[in-house]
Amino acid sequence: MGKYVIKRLVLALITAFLILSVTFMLMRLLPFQIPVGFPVDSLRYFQDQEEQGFVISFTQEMEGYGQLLWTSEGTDLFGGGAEQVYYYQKPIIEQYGNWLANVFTQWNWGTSTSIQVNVSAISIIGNRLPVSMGINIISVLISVPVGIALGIWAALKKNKPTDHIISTIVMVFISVPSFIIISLLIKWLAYDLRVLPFQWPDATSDGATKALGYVIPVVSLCFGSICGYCRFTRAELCEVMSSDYLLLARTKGLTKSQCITRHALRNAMVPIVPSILAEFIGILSGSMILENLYNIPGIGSLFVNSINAKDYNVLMVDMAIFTLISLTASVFLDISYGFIDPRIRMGAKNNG
Amino acid sequence: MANDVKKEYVYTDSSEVEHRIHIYEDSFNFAQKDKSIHDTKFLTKPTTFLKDAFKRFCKNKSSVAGAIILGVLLLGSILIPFISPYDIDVQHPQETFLEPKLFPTGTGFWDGTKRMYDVPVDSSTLAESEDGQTYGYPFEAQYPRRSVLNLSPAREGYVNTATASADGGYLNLINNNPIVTEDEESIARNAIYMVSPVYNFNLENENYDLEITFLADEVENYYAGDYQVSISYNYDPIEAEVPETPGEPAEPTDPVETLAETGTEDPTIDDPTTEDPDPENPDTENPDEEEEEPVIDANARNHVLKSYDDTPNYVQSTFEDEVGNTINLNTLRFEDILSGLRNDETIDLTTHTISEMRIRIDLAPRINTSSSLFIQNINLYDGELAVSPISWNDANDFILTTSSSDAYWQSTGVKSLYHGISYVCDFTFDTYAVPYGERDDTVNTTTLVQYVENGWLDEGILTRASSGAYSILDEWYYITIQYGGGNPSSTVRDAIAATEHNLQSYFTDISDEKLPIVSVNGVMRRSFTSNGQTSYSYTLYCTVSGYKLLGYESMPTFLAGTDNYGYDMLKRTFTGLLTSLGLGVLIFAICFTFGLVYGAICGYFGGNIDIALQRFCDLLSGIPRIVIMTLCILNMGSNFLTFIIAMCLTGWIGTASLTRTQFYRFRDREYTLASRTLGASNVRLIFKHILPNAMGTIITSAVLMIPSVIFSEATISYLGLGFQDMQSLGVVLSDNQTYLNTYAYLILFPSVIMALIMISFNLFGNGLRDAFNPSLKGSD
Repeated sequence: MGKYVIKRLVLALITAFLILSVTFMLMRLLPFQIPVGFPVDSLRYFQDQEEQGFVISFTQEMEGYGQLLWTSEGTDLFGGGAEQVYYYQKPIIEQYGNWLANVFTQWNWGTSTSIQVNVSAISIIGNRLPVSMGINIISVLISVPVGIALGIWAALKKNKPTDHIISTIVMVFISVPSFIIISLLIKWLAYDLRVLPFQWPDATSDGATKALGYVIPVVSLCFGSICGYCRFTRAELCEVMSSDYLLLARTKGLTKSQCITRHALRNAMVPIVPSILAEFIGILSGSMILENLYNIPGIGSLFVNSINAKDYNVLMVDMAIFTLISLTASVFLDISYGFIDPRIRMGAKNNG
Repeated sequence: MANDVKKEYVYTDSSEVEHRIHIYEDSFNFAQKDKSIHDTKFLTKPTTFLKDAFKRFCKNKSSVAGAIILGVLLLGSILIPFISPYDIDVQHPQETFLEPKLFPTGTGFWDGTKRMYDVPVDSSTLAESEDGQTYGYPFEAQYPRRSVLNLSPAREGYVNTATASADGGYLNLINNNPIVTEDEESIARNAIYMVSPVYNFNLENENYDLEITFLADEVENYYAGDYQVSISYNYDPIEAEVPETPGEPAEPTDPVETLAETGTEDPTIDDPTTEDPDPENPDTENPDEEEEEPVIDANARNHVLKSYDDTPNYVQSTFEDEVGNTINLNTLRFEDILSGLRNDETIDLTTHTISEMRIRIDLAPRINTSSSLFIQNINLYDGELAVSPISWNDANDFILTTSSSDAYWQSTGVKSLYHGISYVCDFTFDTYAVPYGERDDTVNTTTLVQYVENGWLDEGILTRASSGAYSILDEWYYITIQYGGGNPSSTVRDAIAATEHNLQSYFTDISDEKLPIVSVNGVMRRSFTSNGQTSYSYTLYCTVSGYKLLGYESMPTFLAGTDNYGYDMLKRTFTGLLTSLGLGVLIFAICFTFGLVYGAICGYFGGNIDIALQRFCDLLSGIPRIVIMTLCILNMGSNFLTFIIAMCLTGWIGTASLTRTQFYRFRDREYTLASRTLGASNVRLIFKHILPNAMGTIITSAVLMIPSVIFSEATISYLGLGFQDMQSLGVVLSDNQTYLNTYAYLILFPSVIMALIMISFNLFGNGLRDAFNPSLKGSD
């Protein structure tokens, strides 16, 4: 088991490294973005970039270094006197090496070019992470018990009207894309009934408004995951309920409720619990569509904002976070199976 | 005897004795030698796996329903873009935002109309009808008369927009400027005020009484903001003697309209010297501070300018107590102040005349961005009666002239009318009547020539024969000219009427359906003479048909309405659906083929090949789809090919891993082993023995790739990275996102289609899976 865990972790690390490397190179292939704002900001940015080893500067125009990125020429930065500087991009492989060095030695992931000029991308993400996490935690806390309860209910009433109603609702909500649900919720609750704010309340609004602001995001996130858990639980429980050992338990004289609580549920939870644990890792990532539609300043909307603002450094870090979260979740999911159910021997030789 | 021996068997028993057994042929007889044995024929019809699956599929009602809906949508997406007559490549600026219409106008449901509530009435159209009710139409420019149906009687109501017919109400000011910090002092220093234009009152020879009422909390969440009012006025001393300024000389004053934050005292800490100045408003708890320091400015040509600064209150709680009662927070009674009734004011109106007064309102940004300031009418009273209500929010006076130009205000913000009193009405707005209905218009010669060229009109209407005979237009015109005004004789009158009738019937009788002219109501001719040649230009005053003018042969009906470009939403949505489905099917085909081959290799050969290929899969599947798509779109632009590449990069992994498991499952089965023993090649084993068994499971889960591609595409488009030059469901949805509140049908229709396609695909896919693999049934 320990060997398997280590193997899985190492593999995940290698995967993450490779993915991030490719992402970095692809991002560097995009046209270089000059920061918005005043020339002073640009100069600061380029000096920083030079320090990090992404650009190279000359005191005159040079041939053979590709396109000129930026020059302080014609801008009176320090009241004259300062030397004119011409910046060129370094080869991508060299930038890659320097990037690795920056990340591993200084934990420097680059600075923003337009969202908050010259602010480190990590700190921008750090500011936005709590908002996304807050919404996600609440929705996980609500949706896990509700979803599992609904799933159990549906499974116990299998092929009865209750089951059909629950299954149909689950089917519909799993199929309908989340942005449609969010749009309709906003339209109905915020615009028509006017009981909820139509966008995320800003920092200055009062407590009641802030609390109401959570309703639409949490509800719209819950719909999907409640349905997911309900479906999953129902399927697992149905399978367990039709198994032979449960029949044996009944024949031995256990009541139905004893059977369900002592045997069926415990076994059905085996695949469900790891997915709940994995979901808790997922709370770090925001829902892009939701945050974008409801103007929530989380990392999901940051993703979209940074694409629109062409802030590739921030985008890179945001993508790195999404990648790491999904990798961690999948590793965690795999490993936790083994811990929860000792019968599952991970990494054992299997023939299919 | 030896000849008779057929077979001889030798064996040694446990005691090492050798035995020989001889078997003779004639010891055996054939049993049933002449009987032939065949399989018994099945009593039932033979069935194949596919037929069986189909039968099972048909038993699942919801899946059949899903398949039917899917089929209808598919058919729609193929047919509608081709049979729909409406054009979605060129924008139609006149035909925007038409409501969905299926039934004739007036049926009340799905008929292209929209019920409008509380629309201000154009006061010039107000009239009493026979039943004693007052009716009035909304403004013609916005809602043409022909588009107004089921008009309700006009009633007194409130409007929150400045219109020419609104009167009274409050001026609602909201300062939108951001606050630099939340520290009070720095707000005072750095805040960007919203400064109203200076409004001049001419008070010559009049004795006025000014009342400004600031209202708090009219609407929930609104609070009286920080504001300052400066009233500056001049007064000319009647006597030569300049009154001395007594009292509080310590406080430096701000003579002109510059508004320093002078009123620093908290209003709740009431000034004991101040008594309630306003007997009409006894519940004005707090008269605030009217700091009145009359200062005589010698430079200002004997004008004394005086300012009243209302106390700036930056802390919300200061007003908290008074928010509940929506009464005056502050009432300035000009006369009182001027007459020196308060604070030992020394200016005496008997000794001074005031000829000019200026008023200005400054609004500070508030911490609470939703706060706004409501100002009631600023009324000037002459004694008891209000002679001229100078309402700032009187549409004609103030808002209409200034709200359009922010430059007039020194800083941006929202300035609007709140609760203006106006006649309002409800009516059903026929959106189709505006562009397509009949209306009065003029048609000039150029257009007429165009119509003749199109073959809609006879040439005779314009051409004058060389003999001097008149064209049809001239005939009418000539007679009209002939009588030259005054009372025409009955003969002339008859001639005019007859020709007019001819002219009109000429147009109405025209068989050509495309001619936009419905009837002609008059004609005007101008003549131009150049180089001795006289040419004529005609202008027809006629009723034209809107839809014919726009090139339609009959009144268009848009089942799903039109959007902000004037595109038919039905065609747009289904064109988008076709693109989305096409994308889904293409990606499905590519990913399925590749995944199948990949998974087959992994599963069939196993071992090191499998391990190597699986690690590659692990690597790729670690990248979130959104990251891959973003990287591809950023690097290659947003087009069809990019989407295919981006989605195919990782899309095949699911199919591959499923194929791999299936191959593992069937690879070591006995029948495969038997076939292998008999010498079957790898190709034969894969394609004849393993794949057919695995296909059902693989294909049914792969079919669900199509809705997931549609979903991904819509998500990406929703985030603003969608196709630039093509329609797709996601593009349609994200384009119309801004109209969620105002034109909800633009979102509802594509959403319903999107939801339907997703639901039916899932139902269909689940049904397929159950049919192909009954053992999995119910585990959705």
